[in-house]
Amino acid sequence: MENFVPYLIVALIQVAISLGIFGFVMVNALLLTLAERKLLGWMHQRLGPMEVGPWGLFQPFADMIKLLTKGDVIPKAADKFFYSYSALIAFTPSFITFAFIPFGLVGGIKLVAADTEIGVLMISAVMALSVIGIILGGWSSGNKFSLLGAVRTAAQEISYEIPKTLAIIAVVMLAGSMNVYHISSIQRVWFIAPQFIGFLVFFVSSLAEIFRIPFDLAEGESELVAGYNVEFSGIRFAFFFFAEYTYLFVTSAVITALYLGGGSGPEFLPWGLSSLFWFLLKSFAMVGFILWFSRSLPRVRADQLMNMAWKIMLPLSLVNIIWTAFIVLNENLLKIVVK
Amino acid sequence: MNDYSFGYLFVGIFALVGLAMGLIAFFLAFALRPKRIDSDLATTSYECGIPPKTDSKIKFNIRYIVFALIFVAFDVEAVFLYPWAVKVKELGTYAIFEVTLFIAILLVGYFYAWGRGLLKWD
Repeated sequence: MENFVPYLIVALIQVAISLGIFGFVMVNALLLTLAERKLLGWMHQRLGPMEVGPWGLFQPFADMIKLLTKGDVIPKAADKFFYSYSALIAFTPSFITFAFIPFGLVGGIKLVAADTEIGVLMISAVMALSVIGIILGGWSSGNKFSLLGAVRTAAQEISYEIPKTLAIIAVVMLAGSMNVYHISSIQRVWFIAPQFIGFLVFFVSSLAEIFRIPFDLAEGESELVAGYNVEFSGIRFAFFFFAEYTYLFVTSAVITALYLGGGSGPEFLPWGLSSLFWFLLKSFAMVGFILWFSRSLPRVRADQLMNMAWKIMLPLSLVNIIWTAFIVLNENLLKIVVK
Repeated sequence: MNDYSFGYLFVGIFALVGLAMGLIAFFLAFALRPKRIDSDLATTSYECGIPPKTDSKIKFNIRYIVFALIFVAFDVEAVFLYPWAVKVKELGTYAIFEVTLFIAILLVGYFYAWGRGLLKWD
């Protein structure tokens, strides 16, 4: 931010950007629920939702009305306060993470609501807060399945947090900054090339953190009936899922910013609008890839999940840091990778 | 207020708006949904149709807590690595040797835990 620009104007621009992002969050989650069901349908050689509206386009709104008007069932065994509000604890952090996502550079203004110097660290820190909501939800339901789902969630999230953090550290080493926009704009070569091991570790850990299918042990339908959200219905269930779909996009956006060059790409629109276009295109392509990936694989076992985190992903991420140190020390290599 | 705290103001705004959005939706649901649950059975815990015999505070595997302890060590390590990672380009070879030493000390504990079978899930 330039010092000569008066704060008021900057603040107004930031508020406008924030309003845009608020709108985007709502549309995005609704759109993704439909997109997932459509994609799943096509993969099963079905059509997916077709009844509500043309081509099933209004299905998310029908779901929303249905979930809003569901009766309020609170199990007798539940801890009322935490049962009622844990969904909000899970949802609010997912909303905050959007503040750090660099959507592009339009007309010389960064489309980031909170352009902080430690953005990458903030994203993973805020994402980790959601787990508290999920664990509280599982524990307070007063159900054995959901308690097991909750402790599994805890174990899974903390195990994959470490390789994910270490993968981000390697990216920070290359970029020399933790500012998400800076990282995305400094890439001469997309970081997926020099950081391929790191990308794999980050991708797998992220899938585990957002409970996508090969790692959805916290809500495994066939073993824990639905894990932490067995007892939830209506609006609370809706908010747990809102959070999950929001994280699906946030994860894809973070992968885009860290590994796929953010908004870089051929410029074909005026005022730098193409950076916004490329960022969204790459992010949604990543969302599609994650959906495809998770529908193609069977669920892993609990022991395989933990072994993979501690005995494969953690050593791999350390190897990746050493490899990155090698690039950072070699000036000629570094010049090829970053601007 | 300076450039540094300016960004965090918006983090706060996002937190408030997120929470407000949730509360508004909760209130909407409260206003729209039927007030009465007719069946007493609806509020019993779901256990695949069989009435639950005990409450939900069951014993679960101690492994979960062991993993949490190992996690703390590694997570603190990761936090120490962040400031180093930002500056490593300027600090050069010396910094990398130092961090190798730092990680090596932690790896001793890691391999000890592995050798004792603490990373095995059974």
